[in-house]
Amino acid sequence: MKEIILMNKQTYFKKFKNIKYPISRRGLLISFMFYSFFHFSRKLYANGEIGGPFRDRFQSFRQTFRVEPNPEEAKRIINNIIKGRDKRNNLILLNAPDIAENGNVVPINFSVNCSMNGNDYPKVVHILVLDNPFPEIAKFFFSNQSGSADLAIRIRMRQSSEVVAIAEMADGTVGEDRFFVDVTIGACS
Amino acid sequence: MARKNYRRRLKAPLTAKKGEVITIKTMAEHTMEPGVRRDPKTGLIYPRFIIDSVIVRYNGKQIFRSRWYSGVSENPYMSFKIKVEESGLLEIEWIDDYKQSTFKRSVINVLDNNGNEIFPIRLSEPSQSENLQ
Repeated sequence: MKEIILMNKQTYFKKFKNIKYPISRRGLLISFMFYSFFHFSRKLYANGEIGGPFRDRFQSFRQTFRVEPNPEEAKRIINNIIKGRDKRNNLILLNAPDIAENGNVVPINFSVNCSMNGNDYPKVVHILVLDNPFPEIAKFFFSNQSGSADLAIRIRMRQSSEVVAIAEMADGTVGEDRFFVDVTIGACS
Repeated sequence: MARKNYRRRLKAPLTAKKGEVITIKTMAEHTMEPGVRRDPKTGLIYPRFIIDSVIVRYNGKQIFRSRWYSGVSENPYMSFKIKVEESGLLEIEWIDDYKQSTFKRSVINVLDNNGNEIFPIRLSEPSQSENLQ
């Protein structure tokens, strides 16, 4: 015969009294409240209901209203990439036109001086335009099998400004190159 | 009629020598909406719709990856270089902002100095099980 255990309401709730949670239930509730507050306030900022103009530099929202370029923010992004390391000379070479008639299509290309063997290859190459509302444009992740780190791409530019290419090597060394481009008709980005 | 938005182009050489560095040109026909433009009549913002990342694989192995943001121009063109040691399948994947991916593939035949093709799997050598017998 199978034993059937019947429990009272009181004995049933006594089971959960002995369980020790990693975070107390009160702490969990408070943390959830904080999280929800920040989460919803961020959405309100994005819609423009509270506060001043919201600069969505991280591009997490699908709709953003017109943002003005901020070169100080671009400098901060570059500092976050370089992290105070010394820049190597003649590592990366950036080419772009001196005068671009149409800002919607600006052809640029770069090449990295390295033998793509062992540790001597660029892990990441960043491309930034300082006076764009969203200065980050592209990242390129290379490997040993890509024969040489030469690449060409077309970008958008709001106004005449500097284009910056930063190469982060697998050793941990960093190289940088800049090129100033004059734009006659800017892109509506 | 507007042209369809999912057209992709890939230009790669059909044959190459062993250890050669070849250029590959890619282009995707796409309206890269930056999420900032407004409709002039209604004033509504067009939602952001861009190609997010591009992945390049050779014989199933990832060799190059790129991450794009809204600063890349519309109908994005990109040319890059790869090194080939054996013939195989080149595969390029464009991934949208909405996680929809489109592919384009091409085969590259790699020849050695004598003009023989180098296969990724060597069929001419006897297999290991035959040697044991």
